[in-house]
Amino acid sequence: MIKESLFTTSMGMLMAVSAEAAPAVELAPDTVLQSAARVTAEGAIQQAEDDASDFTFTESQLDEDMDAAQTVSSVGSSSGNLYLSEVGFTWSSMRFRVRALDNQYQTSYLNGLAFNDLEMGRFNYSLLGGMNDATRNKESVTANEFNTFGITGVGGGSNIKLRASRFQQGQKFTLSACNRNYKYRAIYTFGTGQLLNGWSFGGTVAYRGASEGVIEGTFYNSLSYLITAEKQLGDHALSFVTFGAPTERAQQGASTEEAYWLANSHYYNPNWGYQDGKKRNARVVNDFEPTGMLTWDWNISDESQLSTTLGYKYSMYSSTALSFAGEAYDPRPDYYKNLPSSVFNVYDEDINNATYLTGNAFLLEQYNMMKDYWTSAKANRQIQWDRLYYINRQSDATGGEALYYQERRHNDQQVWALSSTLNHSLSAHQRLNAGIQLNATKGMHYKTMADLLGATRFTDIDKFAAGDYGMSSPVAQSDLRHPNRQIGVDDRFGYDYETMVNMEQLWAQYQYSIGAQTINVQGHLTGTQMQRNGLMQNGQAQVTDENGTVHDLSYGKSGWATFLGGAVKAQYAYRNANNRFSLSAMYEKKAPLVRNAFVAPRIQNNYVDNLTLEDIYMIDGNWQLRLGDLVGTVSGYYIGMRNQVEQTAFFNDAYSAFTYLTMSNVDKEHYGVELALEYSILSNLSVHCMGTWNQALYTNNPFAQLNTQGMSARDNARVNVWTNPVTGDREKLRVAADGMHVGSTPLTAVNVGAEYSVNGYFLEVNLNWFDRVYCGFSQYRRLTNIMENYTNTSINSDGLPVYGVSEESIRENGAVLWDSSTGEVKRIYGAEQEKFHPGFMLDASVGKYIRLPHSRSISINLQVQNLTNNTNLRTGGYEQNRDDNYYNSYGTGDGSKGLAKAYKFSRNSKYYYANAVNAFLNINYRW
Amino acid sequence: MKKLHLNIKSSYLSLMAVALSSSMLMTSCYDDLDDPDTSDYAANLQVSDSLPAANITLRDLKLKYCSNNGKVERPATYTYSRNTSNWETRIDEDLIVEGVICANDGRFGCLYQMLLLRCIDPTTGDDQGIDVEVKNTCLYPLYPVGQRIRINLNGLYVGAYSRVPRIGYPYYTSSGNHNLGPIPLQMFMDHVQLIGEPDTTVAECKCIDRTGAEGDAWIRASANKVVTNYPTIATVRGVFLEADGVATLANDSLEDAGYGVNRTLKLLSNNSTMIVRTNTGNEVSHIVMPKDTVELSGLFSYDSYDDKWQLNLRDTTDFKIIKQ
Repeated sequence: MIKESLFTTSMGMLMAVSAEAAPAVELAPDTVLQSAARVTAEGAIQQAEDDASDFTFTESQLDEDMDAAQTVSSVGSSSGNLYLSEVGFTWSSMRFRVRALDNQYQTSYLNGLAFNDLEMGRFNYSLLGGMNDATRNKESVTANEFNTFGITGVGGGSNIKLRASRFQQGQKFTLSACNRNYKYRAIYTFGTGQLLNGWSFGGTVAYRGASEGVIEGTFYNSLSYLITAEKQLGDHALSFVTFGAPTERAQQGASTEEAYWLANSHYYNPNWGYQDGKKRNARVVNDFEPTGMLTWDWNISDESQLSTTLGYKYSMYSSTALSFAGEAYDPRPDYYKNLPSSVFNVYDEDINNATYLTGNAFLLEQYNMMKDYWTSAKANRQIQWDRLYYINRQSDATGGEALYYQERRHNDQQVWALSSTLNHSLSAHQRLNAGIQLNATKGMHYKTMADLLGATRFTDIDKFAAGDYGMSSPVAQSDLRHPNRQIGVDDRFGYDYETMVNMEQLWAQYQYSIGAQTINVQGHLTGTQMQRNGLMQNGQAQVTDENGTVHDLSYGKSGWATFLGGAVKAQYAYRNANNRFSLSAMYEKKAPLVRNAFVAPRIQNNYVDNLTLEDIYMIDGNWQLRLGDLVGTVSGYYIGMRNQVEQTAFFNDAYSAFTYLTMSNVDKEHYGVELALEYSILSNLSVHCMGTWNQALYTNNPFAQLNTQGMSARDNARVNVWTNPVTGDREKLRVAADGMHVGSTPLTAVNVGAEYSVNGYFLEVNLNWFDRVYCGFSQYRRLTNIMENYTNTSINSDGLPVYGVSEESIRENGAVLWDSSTGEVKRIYGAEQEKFHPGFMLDASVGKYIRLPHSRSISINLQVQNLTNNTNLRTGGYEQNRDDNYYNSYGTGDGSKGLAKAYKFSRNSKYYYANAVNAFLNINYRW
Repeated sequence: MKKLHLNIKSSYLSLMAVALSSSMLMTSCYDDLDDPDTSDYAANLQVSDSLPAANITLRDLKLKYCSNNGKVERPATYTYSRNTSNWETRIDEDLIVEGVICANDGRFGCLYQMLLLRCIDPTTGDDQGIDVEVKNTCLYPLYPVGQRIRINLNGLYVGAYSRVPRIGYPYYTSSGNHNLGPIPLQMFMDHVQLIGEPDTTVAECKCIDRTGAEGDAWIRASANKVVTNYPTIATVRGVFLEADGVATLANDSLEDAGYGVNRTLKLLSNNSTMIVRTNTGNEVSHIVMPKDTVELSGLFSYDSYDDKWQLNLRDTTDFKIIKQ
């Protein structure tokens, strides 16, 4: 049940409560703003009286997927950092990310082989899904700690050891039941230990499943396996491991608060609907990444060990999505035109009042009709699959093509990787570790037709481009080499390209310890090469030069972009009986990710502007203490990032097309403090607390580059224009990101809890408080040619420029303020970023360990999260990439803003909520 | 000893194999549904109970609510009127109209959010049409051409938009104007009944022939500019004054506030002209205007602002070049 509603109908009046917003915008003292309400652009051409932007599809779908993958498990620390060892698990329900860092800043190794995806930068945890018992044996370190396996990112790293000899000897069977993404789980794991003939074997097989997960319309279907064998041959050991987790799962989609209110649940899922009375989800992920690794360990001497691993992975990842042809009505049930608040501006007090709505009864009648439709039957607020089939069949019967279809977007990947690591003790006080990492990754990106939904015909052209340029225009062709190709189920269409990334790294770590003091220095030199290979010749990437010659920017290879990066790290630590102090620093020059490197990778080979090595630097101080029965850790850190490139991809409603927005020269800062304490009151009773305060900000207004699919190169150039209103000059397009927070993770979190054990029973209670979770900000809404630009209208008596815009308007919409005398930008303000309400979550777990004869045991554990059933805790969300205004010159926009829409996208971000009360019952039998 | 080791290995591997195979059995595909039977789906697009027979003709409806007794003027009474060209009256009784859909948005979306309802009286031959606005960008598969429908106007609005007779629902434009606009689709479904199967061979689906000298004369005659003569579907002939063999019917650089472009068609047998209006962003808009004579079919209506007849093409097939 939703306790607070945004939109309540009472006596004919609708009240709208705005979401809480942080005072992120501090207006500069050297400008004067009129208190008048917002001022619209002068000379705006009157727009069409109907909203012609019906051809709308989706939000940040790519990022939506990424959000799900970003949650960071505990980094851990070899030095016994209490905070890092607890934080990942304790706050996982809120998708907490340590230091607000993306997964890409942690480096994950398997048997010494770096396994972060070179395209995305991230380690895919689902690679090891269900293999909990097989992957417990790992070494985790913070960013600058000395370790045996390699260089880690600014977020630290870990090395999971999958050698058979490291598997715990014996067998274990686990049965689990829960009400989360999946509902039941079974795991069988065995380890032989080293047999007399030198062989060791280990393995695990698991199944996780739910015909319907805790979120309605989702399902989960996953098998996991891991088999490993090792043979000891004197000083050598050869180990082979193969694993994979073929998984099919249906996704939850975020929605707006209004949709949640209408559905009376914060767990409303717009991704599914009834098909012939059965639930069908439009967004289904299939993921299988079979991996094999061969490891050779050579114990050269007591002082030296060499470990070499060759790995191969072939990843098959796809996700489906519902799509539609240009003229069809958007099939999303929560498409904004289906929502009551699209009828009139519910946030405008001049409209949303009894007097006005009585005088305009048709508005309220329509509002209530739409509201009643949403609330009268569940099927009304879900995808109407039967209708989509009916429409397609009607179209088919008259010779038409599929108006709706389900496409499958593939992101396959082949990886060859090699590592070799030498661990060498120079003396009792000195250790040297060094090695190489080589990686050759090929990403294969394309989409196929998953389901024509009752239709029989589909031509591979861009339906939106066909509307703007004509079906016979080359711009409409997905592949000029195969124009107007007919597409059937499983055929590739739309886009098809490869990305190749090669990485070579040389690294070394040196540690010197004497007495209580330890110093370590580390460094690496890393070469990265990347290129794109287009397998289709997209009609939108044909550029005509001044001589009339047409250049293809789509088919074939882009040419290699090469980067030579590296890092230096150092740590000083002092340890005595009860304390350990450490101070560390690092500086890294890091190659950009290939996923951010191309202007529009689905279409063309062009690299983004300002693509360069990123600069990352950090300092970190840590104190670990033991004072009697009190143990704890305190840390402070600062991380600076400069010259980064970030790309988002989304369906741009304004231009009815898939759009890439790339920011370059991005600067960010992360800093904060972390604390964890544990006090043992009795030998079997302890209390603990943990807290962190982080700041994670964008600190500049980066350059921006837009590329919209379905537009010719000429028109794409037009949407990148930002004109100086004083001089008329063309300016470099920017995003007003300065001051925006990294979103979708709590920047403040506090935990207090207690643990008690008696007679084999274990009890733990944790109360958590989360705050400063920010909504992911829309870069598109903050583009300097999307925001209002103001030139000062006068100079006041103090000599300050006066602008015809209110502070309130700037907070809500952002603004670019120009100085009429100099023709320069005075200030750029991004629209204020939404901060979610803070909240508590109470978790508890109880367990029992039963020792049986013959080294057998049973353990039972019940964990309950969110005992108080707090269903109002937002874990994340994102602003819709659409602003509140129509545009002049629809389709190829000249950038000028038109009139306001009734529906306010700026007030309707999409949110995810933490799970309601949920339980996880685990029963282990070990023998 | 060696044999024992092998036994241990085989025992583990057997367990693995059993677990793996049983898990694979459980891992059947969840995302596998049969295609639905939609043969009766049309029942979801209309009222659940049958509507009574029509109790008002389109002619009487237009005379009463859409004109000043036939003149292209605002009627004496109405619920709301923004100006002399736009007005509406809310219907609060069970007025039932009936007709055949003779034009809709079509596969290219040329006619935005509209159905053209037409009814030819089998007895008198009286031929009337009215614009029914429905809020959806893809009406043609739901309410195809040739489909006879009945609409209960109770709760809907009848009036005119730019003096063109219309059944719709009021709304505010982005510029703040109160106009008679589209009926929300769900509301329309609660007011409409489908009668029989679509049949494009019926008389209502045939364009009125306004070609030739007789047609040109009809178009030229001022007396014909009465609401009982429009909107309908018709065929005309002429030459484009803007034709240069390169220019298209519509493009973004020429579009007006209504996302459309007006072109001038000069009739063949007299000097009269009429408007050919085309929305941008659809296949028809990309048709190059030839210097030759063209025969055009489509939505035939009256543009009171320019005091000219206006034609909107529905599809590329509505455009024919007549070689001289």
